Amino acid sequence: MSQPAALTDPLGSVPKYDFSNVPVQAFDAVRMKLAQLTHSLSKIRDDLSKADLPQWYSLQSQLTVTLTQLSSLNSTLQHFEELLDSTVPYPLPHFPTTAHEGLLTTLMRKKQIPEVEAWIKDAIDHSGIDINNENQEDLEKFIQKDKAITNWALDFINHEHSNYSFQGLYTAEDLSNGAGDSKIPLYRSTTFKTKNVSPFSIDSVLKYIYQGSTNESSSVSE
Amino acid sequence: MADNIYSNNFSSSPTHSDGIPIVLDPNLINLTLPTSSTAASVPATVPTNGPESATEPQPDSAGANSLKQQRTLVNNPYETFGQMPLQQLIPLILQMRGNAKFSDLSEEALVQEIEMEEKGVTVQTEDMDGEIDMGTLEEDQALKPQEITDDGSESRPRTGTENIMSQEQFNQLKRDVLEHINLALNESSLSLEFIVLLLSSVRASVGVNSMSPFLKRSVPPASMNADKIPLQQKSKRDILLTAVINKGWKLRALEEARSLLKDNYLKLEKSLEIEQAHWAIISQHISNSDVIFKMRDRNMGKRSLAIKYGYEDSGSLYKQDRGVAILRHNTEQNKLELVPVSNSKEQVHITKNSVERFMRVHVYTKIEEDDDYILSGESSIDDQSLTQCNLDDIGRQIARLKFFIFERELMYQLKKESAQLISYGVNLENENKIVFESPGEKIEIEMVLLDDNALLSTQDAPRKDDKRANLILILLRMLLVVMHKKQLRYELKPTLTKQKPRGYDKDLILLRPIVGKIRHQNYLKLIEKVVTETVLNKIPNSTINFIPTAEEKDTHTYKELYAAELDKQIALFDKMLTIPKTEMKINLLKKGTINLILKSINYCNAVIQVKYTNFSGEVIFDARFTEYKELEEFLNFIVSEYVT
Repeated sequence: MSQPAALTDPLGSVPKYDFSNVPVQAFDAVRMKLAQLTHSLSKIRDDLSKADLPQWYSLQSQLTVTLTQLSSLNSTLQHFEELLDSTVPYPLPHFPTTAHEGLLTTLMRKKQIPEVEAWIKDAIDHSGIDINNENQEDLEKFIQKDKAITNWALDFINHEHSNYSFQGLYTAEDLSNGAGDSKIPLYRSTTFKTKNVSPFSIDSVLKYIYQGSTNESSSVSE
Repeated sequence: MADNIYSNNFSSSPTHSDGIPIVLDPNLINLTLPTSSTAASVPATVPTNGPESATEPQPDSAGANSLKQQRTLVNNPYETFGQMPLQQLIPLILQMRGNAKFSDLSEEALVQEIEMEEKGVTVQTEDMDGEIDMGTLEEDQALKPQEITDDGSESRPRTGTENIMSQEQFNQLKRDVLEHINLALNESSLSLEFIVLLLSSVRASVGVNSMSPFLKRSVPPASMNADKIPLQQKSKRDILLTAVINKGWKLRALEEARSLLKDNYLKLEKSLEIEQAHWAIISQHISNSDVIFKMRDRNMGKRSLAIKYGYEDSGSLYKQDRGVAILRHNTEQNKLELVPVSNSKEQVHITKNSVERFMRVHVYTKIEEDDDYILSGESSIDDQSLTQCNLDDIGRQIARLKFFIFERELMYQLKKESAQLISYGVNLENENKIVFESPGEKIEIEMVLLDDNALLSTQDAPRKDDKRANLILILLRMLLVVMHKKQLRYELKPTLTKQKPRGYDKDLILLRPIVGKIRHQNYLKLIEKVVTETVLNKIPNSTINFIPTAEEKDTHTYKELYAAELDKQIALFDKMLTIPKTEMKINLLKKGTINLILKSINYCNAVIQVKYTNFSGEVIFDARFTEYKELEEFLNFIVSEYVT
C-alpha cells in the first residue's frame, strides 16, 4: 500500500495520506449519476406511498426517467470498468470502526443482495445452459451462436418495423401507394377556417339565420 | 423480510440485521407477513447494540427512523394487536393494505387472500421454476421472481387473461412495486454514500455536500482511501458466465415482453371489436334526423351518447320527461341498449307501468230505458307493432319511446285543459282518465296500459262509434301537434320571447273544440226544439233554413319561408279550431223573418242572437240570450205580438 509512514504522531491531527490513487474523475461521474438516480427513485417511492396515486402517465414518465438514469449509470460504470475494477478501497485509521462497524461493512459490501443473487440465478436457469457440466469450448460456441441469432433477430425486427407505419391514419401500404400524405391531417378542424377569415358580413349571416333561404333574396349568397 | 436481506449479507454479524432501518416502515413490513415475520421479529426484539448500529445511511431521517425503530422493536406489534379496539385496528389494517378504503374490502377477497397465503409456499416454488408472472406491471423489477418476498404470493394467481384487477390485487402489486423501488433506492443511496465518502478525501467540498446527514455525523470525511492494484484480467469462465447471465436475462425479458405484447394485443383486439360493434349499431340505427349528444351515464359513471326522443325541439313544452335516453353498450351481449333517463337529479326509477301507456277513447251511449251506458265505440291501436317490445331493434325502441312520451304529454295537457272545462261536463276521474258527459252520451279518454289485455279488446266486433272514437283520438293528437307548431312559431318571433312567460295556457285547445262541437250540436237540437214549439207549430207554413256560413279567407302573407311553412301547417287546422257558429233563418211568410245565430265565445258556452225583421225589412228586435227559457219566452212574445 502506498500509505506514507506518517504514524509518528498517531494521536495528533489526521496524518497526510496519499489520495492520488482515488479515481476522482470516474467517481465524480458516477456520483452525479447516482445522485440523479437516488433522487428519482425516492421521488417514485414518495409518489407510490401516497394514498392517492398520481396519474399513471406521470408515474410512467417518472419511471422512464429513472430507467434512463439507470442505464446511463450503467454505461458510466462500464466506461470506467477497468479503472474501478483495479481500485481497492479501504478505511483509514480514523474511521470510527468500532462505533460504526456495521456502517463500514455495509458501505464496503461487494456481495449482491439476495434479490439480485436470486435474479442472477434465475437468469442462469433461463439461459438453458448448464454451466457446470458443459465444457468451455461448447459454451463459447453456444454463446457465439446465440449472438448470431440475436443479430439476425434484430435485423429481422428492424426490417419488420420499417414495414409498418406507426403514426397517422394510413397504413404503410397506403403510404407507399400514395394514398395519403401522412403529414396532412385527414380531418381538418372546422374552427380553423372560421377564426381567420370571415367571408360573410355579420348582417347577412344573421339575416340568413333568421329568414332561411328565400327565392327572392339573392343577397345572402354573396 | 427486510431484516433478512442484510443478515444474509453479513453472516458475520447477524445481530445487525435488526438495526438496519430499511426504507420501509418496519411496522408495515411486519404487518404484511403474519407468519414469517413474527418469527423473524422475535429475535429482533433482543437487539445487542440497538438502533445505534443503524448502518443504513438513510439520507432523510436517520434519526427519526432510529427512534421509531427503537419503539417498534421493543413493542412487538403483534402482541398489542389482539387487545386493540376495532377503531384503531381497522385503520391500521387499512394502512397496511396500502391505504385502501374499508368499503373496498370484501369478504370473498379476504378469504381468497387467506387461502393464497396458506398456499403461499407451494406457489413460490413454482415460480422458482421460472414460471413467468404475466402481470402487466409497469415496473420491470416487480416482474422479477420474488423468492424472498412472502407476500408476493397474491399476485401470482393473476394471469394475462384476467381482465379486471381487484382492489386487493392492485394494492398488493403496488406494495410489491414499492418494495422493489425501496430495494433499488437502498442500493443506490448506499453506493452514493460510498462514492461520496471516498471522494471526500480528494474533493472535500463535493464529497461533504453530497453526504447524507447521518454519514456526516458519524464518519469524518476523508476517512477512506483507495489504492490501485494491477488489473486482474477476467477469467474466460467469468466472461462466459456473464454472457450466460446476459442470455438468460434477455430470454426472460423477451418472454415477458412477448406475453405482455400478446396480452395487450388481445385486449386491443377485443376492445376494437366492441368499439366496432358499438359504432356499427349506432350508425345503423341513428340517422341525421336524430338528436345525439354526449352525456354521462349516471348509473355506469361512463361517458356515453344520449339520444333525444322527446319533442322539445319540435315545440313541446312538456317538462315532466325530457325524453332523453342513453345509448348504453351492453358488453356481455355486445349490443346497444336504450335506457331512458329521467329528468330529475336522482335516478327515479320509472316503472314500466307508468310509462307504457297509450291513450284510448271510449264512447258510451246511454240506454234510454234503464239509465245506463253501453260501450258503443273504442279507438284502436294504430300501430300494432308498438306492442312488441323488441330490445334488439333500436329504431323500434326509439319509435316506442317517442310514442309513449307523446301520449304522456297529451294526457298531461288534457288534464290541464280539463280543469278549465269542468263546468262543461268534463271531469277528471283519476290521473289516467278524463270523462266528458253530454246528454245521452259519455266519452272517456283514458291512458291504458299497453299490454295483452289492451290488445284483446281491439279484437271485439266493430261497434257503431268506433270510427268516431278513432277520429276523436286522432284529432286530439293532431291538435297537440298544432300546439307544438304554434310554440315553434312563437319562438321564432324574436321580439316577443322575453315579454311573455312561456307556456300555452291560452292556446291550450285540445279537448275544447271537440267538446264545443258536440255541445254546439246539442244546443242546435235544443233551439230547433224551441223554435218548433214556439214558432213552427203555431204559424202554418213557416220554415226554418240553415244559412251556410261564409268561410273567412286567410289573409296572412308571410315573408319568411320557414314561418310561412309553419303558418300554412297551422292554418290547416284553422277550420277545426274555429268556434262553431250556426245561422238559421225562420221564414214567417208574410210576417217577416227571424234570424237566429248560435255561437260561442269559448267553444263550449252558447250565445243565441235573435233578430226579428218585419215584412217591410225593418229590424224590430236584435237581442242576445244565453238562456233557453228566455229564448223560448222571447220567441213566444214575438209570435203572439207580431205574427199572429
